Amino acid sequence: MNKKLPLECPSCSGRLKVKSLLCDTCDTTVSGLYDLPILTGLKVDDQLFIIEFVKASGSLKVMAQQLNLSYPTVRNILDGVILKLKENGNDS
Amino acid sequence: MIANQKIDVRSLLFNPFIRIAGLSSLIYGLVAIALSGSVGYMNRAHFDGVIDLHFGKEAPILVFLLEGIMNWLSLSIVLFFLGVILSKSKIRWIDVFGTQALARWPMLLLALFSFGFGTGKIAINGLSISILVFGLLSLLVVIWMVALMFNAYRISCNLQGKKLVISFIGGLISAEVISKIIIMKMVLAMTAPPTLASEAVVSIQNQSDKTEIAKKVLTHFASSEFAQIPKYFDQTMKNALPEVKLKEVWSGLNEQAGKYKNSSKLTTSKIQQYDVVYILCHFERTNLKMKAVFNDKNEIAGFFFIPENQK
Repeated sequence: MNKKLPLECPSCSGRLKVKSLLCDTCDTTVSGLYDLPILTGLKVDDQLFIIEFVKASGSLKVMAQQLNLSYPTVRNILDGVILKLKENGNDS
Repeated sequence: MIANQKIDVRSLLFNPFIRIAGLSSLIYGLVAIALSGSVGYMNRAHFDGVIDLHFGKEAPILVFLLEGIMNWLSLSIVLFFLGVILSKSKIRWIDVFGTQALARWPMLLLALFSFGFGTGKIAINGLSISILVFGLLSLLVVIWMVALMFNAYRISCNLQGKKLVISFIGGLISAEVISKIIIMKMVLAMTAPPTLASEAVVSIQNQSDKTEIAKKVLTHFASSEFAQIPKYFDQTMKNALPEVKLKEVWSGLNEQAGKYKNSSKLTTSKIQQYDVVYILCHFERTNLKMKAVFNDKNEIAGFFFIPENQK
């Protein structure tokens, strides 16, 4: 089962933060208050897109070929991701 | 991601631009436009506006091809500028022009449909079932094409919401008006017969040549240069009035009417298909008119000296 990382508080819809982290090798727990990385605010599809984009050396043409999509479609996805990142950046 | 989605028929029919744009769509689109124009030429189907099809008069194939090109260019240019102004993305002209060219491919189907519903039949039978069927099909195809144009604009310019809808409707109407005006002027220019003005210039030029020839002939007579005269004659006249005969005619006139003094009034007229030039010649004892009748090759086909009052 693929568990989804919760990003919003189910009670007040506020942005969640990390309070504790666990090492599942030695069972050590680290407690504190950490912000989630900005990329986690994106949908899984968008996160995968960013990974593919980096792997393609930031070339939209290569991305279009790899994904079998037209150039403007890939550019539109990227512009959408950029917009979401800006929005998430402003929220935090 | 979109790439992982199955290629469904709906997407293929209404929004192929998710997967095809740029140069490849431009090439496919231009081929479709050229084929639409060629089929239109065969059945006189004029694409005389961005979303128009009308059956009209025969014209050179170039007119039908240019109609398609003008429609495509009108809409592409308008939408490209709207995209540049409204979009926050860096849009490429090749995507706008390419996807809009491909969006016109349903017009090829419409041109082919019009074969089955022959234009002559429509004109003769009036409002028949075939017209209604063709009308309905045309409407569906045009709606389909507009949907393709809309999606092409949405993808190539990355616009959404009200901005997208309003700018597309405005752009389509503007392009329709622009293309109508351009095509109307182009068709008029390419199918109109030679203008009256140009005909008049040719006519005046011919008339001017003939009067000049008539003047030269009289000058040669006055200077006794009879050998120079037959070159202005047609073959029949050359045979009938060689240099020797011309000399005899001129000598006879000078004996009867007195010595030639000068000429004055020059008039022209048309007898059947022949242009005629008259020059009033003053001799010592009387006046005579030199009458030169010209054929359409500007050769003298008839030549006379007649009394002043005779025509």
